[in-house]
Amino acid sequence: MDNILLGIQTALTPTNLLVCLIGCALGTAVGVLPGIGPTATIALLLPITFNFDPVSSLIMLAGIYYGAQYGGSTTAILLNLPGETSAAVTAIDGYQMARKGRAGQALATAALGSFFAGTVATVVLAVFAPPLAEAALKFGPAEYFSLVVLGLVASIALASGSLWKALAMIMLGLLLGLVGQDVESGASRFTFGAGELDGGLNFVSLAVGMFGVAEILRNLATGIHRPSMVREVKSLRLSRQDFKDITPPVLRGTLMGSLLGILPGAGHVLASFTSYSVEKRLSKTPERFGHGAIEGVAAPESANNAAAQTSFIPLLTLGLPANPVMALLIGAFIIQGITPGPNVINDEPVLFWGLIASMWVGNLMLVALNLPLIGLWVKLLTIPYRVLFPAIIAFSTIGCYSLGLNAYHVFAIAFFGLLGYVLIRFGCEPAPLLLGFVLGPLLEENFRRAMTISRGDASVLLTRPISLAMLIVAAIFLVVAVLPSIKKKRDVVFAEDE
Amino acid sequence: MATDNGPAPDGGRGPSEVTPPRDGSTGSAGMSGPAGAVGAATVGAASPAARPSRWQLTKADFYSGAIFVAFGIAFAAASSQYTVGTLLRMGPGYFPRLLGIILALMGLAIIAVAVLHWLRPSSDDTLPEDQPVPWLRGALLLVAVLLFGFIIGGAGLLPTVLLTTFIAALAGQGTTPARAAVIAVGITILCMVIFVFLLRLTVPLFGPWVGG
Repeated sequence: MDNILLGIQTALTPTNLLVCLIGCALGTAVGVLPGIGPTATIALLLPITFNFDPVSSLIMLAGIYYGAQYGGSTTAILLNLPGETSAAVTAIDGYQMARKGRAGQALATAALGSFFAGTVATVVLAVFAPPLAEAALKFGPAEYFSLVVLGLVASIALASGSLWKALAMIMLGLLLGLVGQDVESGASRFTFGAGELDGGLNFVSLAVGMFGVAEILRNLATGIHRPSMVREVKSLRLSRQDFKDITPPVLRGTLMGSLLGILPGAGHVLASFTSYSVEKRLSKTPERFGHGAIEGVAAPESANNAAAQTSFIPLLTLGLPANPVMALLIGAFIIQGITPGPNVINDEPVLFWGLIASMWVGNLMLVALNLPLIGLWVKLLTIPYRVLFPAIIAFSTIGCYSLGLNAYHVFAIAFFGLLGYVLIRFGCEPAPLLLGFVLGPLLEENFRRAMTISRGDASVLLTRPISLAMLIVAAIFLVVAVLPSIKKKRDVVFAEDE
Repeated sequence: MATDNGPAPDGGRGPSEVTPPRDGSTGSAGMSGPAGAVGAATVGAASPAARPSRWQLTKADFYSGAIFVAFGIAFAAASSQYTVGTLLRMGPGYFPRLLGIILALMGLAIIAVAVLHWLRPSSDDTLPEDQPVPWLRGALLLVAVLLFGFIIGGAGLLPTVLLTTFIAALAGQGTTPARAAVIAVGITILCMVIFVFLLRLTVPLFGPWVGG
């Protein structure tokens, strides 16, 4: 209880309220805009937040993340244009509601459902994170090594695309993460003699290149489709019947989202899709789905927002990122001098509880930001892409250069932009590479320590029960992901969000 | 669309009309033997017909496999320069060499699967996303980024940002130099307000080259 009070106190300081507001507003903006997603935005803003204290910077970055979930659903409903992957499901029925003149009700449902889900998921986070961290504190290097392996494998088994390519992308990411000075021996690895690379490849440059520049390169070829017509918002008021209709789907969506969000990988995408199909199956009138069923908006919106919140659990308790955004937050922690992992709760209670409380505050702000200001957000869509992308380039270059005034960080953007573009063209997604990159040093360190403790006996990974259990689970994930029947289902799930 | 999930080229939204294959569309990957040979064999035969050729269906796998093999071998070879050591006393080269070998093997596996696929195409294959490569405009964009790194130390923040955004803006579809200049000035002002005025970035506005 003291902890929660501490958190609320932290979240309610004027500075933190302000950064939370900025984060939520920025997040909503990039959620609305196609062509730039939360991963690229957070990468762009990381250098700026290094001027803040750790608590404020993480509050702002987290705000961008869940703000983007809100913004994505706004354009999904009004324009049939999901700005965010997880909002694709919302577009199915949300846009149909808008076509029938019920855009306001769809938006209100999305906002209220998300707010409710966000509140519940915040409580879930506050209740379950501390014991999990407690358990993780007992882990030795062998357990940690296996845990990281499990996290990496799970993140791709639950994502879309070819499993082999995703595995190879993880390996490539791990290797790129090892560039720079070796902590134990002090040897400079893969730096081509450039002292500027001793500190390693900059992960902000990598993220900005792979998620920002590569995306621009892709869009240069295809152009971005801008909708010509925005559906009008009449009234936001929900009728008594509406409330009755959305209550059960919101509750079920929240439950599913909270659970699936903890899983590594595209938990929030999976959550919104699963909850939608569950509602359709449970409904007495499934034929209404796809034609403007309000339940079809309520369930996936609550699910994806709940999942967005609970995906912080593995980050804050184990130091494991569940998705690329969380991988960037790990980087933010490290640059602020905090090692993400089970120690955060005890060593940095202000940070941990402040962040959690700020999420609830942020969700409240988002309702206030989104519903009355809806017209303003939609106006953002009139910014032409030919103006937007040079601005992204300017922000990326200035931001990366400002990290240590090192021109190599800027060159790295171009390198990773090109590499990312080429790999994306050949069907390799950049997300696993980023996760591998962030976890590379951690994996190596724990592997070395485990081998030193076991006197060079690699079987220690299999003889320690917790480590063995985690490796078995990882193997199951892999086997399940390649089974033909499951693979088909996976393809269906992710074809839906295209 | 979503940047955090990337495209799913096998997601079944291939274009209905087939564009002729673009051979050698990558500059960074050394083309491996089989991929190169297959490419040469099918490029001449392929016509813009409705049925995608085998090469079009599998080239992404050949190329990505080759990239992974190349990176894996490069890392493994470079690791051998450092002390490798044993499991008990691991040198700085041990872990990267292990990972490099695994990566190269994975690349080979991807190529092997592609070969099988090439030999026996299945009926429900869909053509992966195949858009034209924006060679010139893409190059302009990357040049803009690289230029920033080269001149920031000498020219200072203001001229560098102006020039970078101008060149980047030129990459836009149908952006004329005059329009690019307007865009560049606007973005530069915005950046100066945010980075210099609000965030107090410590980079000099004008560098030694321009009398700063």
